[in-house]
Amino acid sequence: MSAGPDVPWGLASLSEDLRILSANLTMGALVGWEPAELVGKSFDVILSAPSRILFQTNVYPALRTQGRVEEVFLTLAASAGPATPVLLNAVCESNASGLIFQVLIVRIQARNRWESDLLAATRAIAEERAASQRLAAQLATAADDLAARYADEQRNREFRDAFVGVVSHELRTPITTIYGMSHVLRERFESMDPDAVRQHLGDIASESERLNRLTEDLLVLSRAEGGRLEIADDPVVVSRAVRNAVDSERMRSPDRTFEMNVPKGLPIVLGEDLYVEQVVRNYLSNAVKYSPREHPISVVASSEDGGVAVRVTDAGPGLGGHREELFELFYRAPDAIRKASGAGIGLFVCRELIQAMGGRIWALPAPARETGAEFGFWLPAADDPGDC
Amino acid sequence: MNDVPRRHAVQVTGDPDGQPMLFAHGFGCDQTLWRFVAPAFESDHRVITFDYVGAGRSDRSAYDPERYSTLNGYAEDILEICRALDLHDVILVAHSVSAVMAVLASIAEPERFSDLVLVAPSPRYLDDLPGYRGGFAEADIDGLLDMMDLNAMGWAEFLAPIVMGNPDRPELTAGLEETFCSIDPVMARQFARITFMADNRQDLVKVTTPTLILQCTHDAVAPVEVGAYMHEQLVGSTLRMIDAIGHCPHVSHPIQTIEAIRAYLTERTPSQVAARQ
Repeated sequence: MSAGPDVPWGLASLSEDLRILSANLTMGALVGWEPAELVGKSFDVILSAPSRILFQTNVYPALRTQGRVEEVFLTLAASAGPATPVLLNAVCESNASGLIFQVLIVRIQARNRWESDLLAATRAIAEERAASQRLAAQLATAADDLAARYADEQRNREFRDAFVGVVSHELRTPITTIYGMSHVLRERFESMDPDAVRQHLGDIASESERLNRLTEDLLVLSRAEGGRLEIADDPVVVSRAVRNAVDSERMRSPDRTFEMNVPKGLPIVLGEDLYVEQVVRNYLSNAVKYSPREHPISVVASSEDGGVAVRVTDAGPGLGGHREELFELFYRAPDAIRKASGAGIGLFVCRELIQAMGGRIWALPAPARETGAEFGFWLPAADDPGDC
Repeated sequence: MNDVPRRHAVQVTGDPDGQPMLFAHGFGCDQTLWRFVAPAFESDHRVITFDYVGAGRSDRSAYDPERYSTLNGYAEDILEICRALDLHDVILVAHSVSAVMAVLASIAEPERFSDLVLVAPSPRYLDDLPGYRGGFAEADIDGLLDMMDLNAMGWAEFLAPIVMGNPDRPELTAGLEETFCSIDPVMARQFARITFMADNRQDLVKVTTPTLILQCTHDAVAPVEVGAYMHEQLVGSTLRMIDAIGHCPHVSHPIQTIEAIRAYLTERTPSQVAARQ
């Protein structure tokens, strides 16, 4: 270690166990010690705390495995004031007594300031890039949200349009009849033939009934669309609901034949009897609407699969390959449109009601017939089965 | 599972029928640091060394910032290596922060390990005064991260292997097999951050595996008080001092390190061994 006082670099020799064996004047000046004071001390002493970690964990292992390190940036612990930035080069030499590390240290005050600024700028750019990526991600999410909301809105609008169109047509027909007939009766009642009066009153009654049913279906529909279709868990005697529905349909269509096969001893199901009746009535009125007058309509209830199944079979045109869509809202099969008016609400309401009561619903070609359809549903038996 | 040995550049030497000794390197280097100590156990042990992902010859494409956002990800690496090699009754020798990984791995699968040998361990590097002195303040760790960034930026010679490991510049990878102690700067930075910010003191009491603590008398990174704290918290542990300056006794004082480990393994009383069987 022969470098004189005026060399601008610090030099030190370290023993194998990292004690300072010698140091030049510049090395002492860098840390504010006399070189002689440094001798015997651990090299750690002249390093700042972060530098001690870096030296012990990265630099020393590299020095031992590679034999040398170059241009390592560290900071020295000054006796007073801020730490001094330096570059360290070192080599590992071996002599008779073991290993010796020769260390050269150069102060890089000005360059370090520049490098620190550069590092800060690099980090700022990285942060800005990350921020703009976050922003882009937020924008993409917002756009997705907007698209989803637009699609929702679009669906709602389509629903409203269809609803208004169908309902206004379906409501207007019975109202027109009721209004027209009652107007005629009021004006000309006294001069009219009693048979004609009876006929008009019968038409008013049946159109009122139709209006009433449509209103019931619309009520269920509006609740189902709003997600508010809640059905009580009351015990329901299915045979009674079926009988009520058939009786009311017989009154409405006295010229049709209904064959009812409802055995005794069916299990009790849970739900609301008026809703079960509404489903059967919808099935029956469809059968009346779409099947030829001369063919009977069959209603069969049976106990099966841990519950009760009800099947309404007609001799109409059949399903025509549209079984899946039949229960969709506002759907009307092409054949049905030609044959009779309708809103495309009834079967949707049936499905919603049966599903809300925990059951299954189906439409099949009528068994053992060339034409016709079977509409059915199944409801699970209550846990505590009873007879009816 | 089959790619685990390749992912970690696992090397197996020694007696294939011997009790396995698995050596886990710490922050700052790779498995080459064990080359002064591990071979001494090859005569009677199956010796396994490996690199964590990001270090040495590990598969750097397997680096998952999410998995390695806590030390648990690294502990899982140890367990996956044990499973892949079907290692049982393992003596796990872990340096520096790897001691925490060893603690976590032994808590997760205590039946897997016969002993832990923790070299210069620390469960927390930051001070938590007045009760605990880890040796460093948070500002020191910020300073370390800055220093690592500045060194990476300046392509410091001691980080040169990183340049060679740069996948964007394949023409520079030719000399990779001759490099030692290489560590990817991005991974090194995250490793440093989670290492020095971690606090695993609560985990120590959960360890049931017999443990040897090797503590250097003058270690600036893991001071003597920390070794004493570890000894106090790890029930039934053995504390051995190595008269050395520095944090890497397995590099600076390999003979003493080997002797301390051998002495511990020999002195385990038969009852301790029997109790495990």
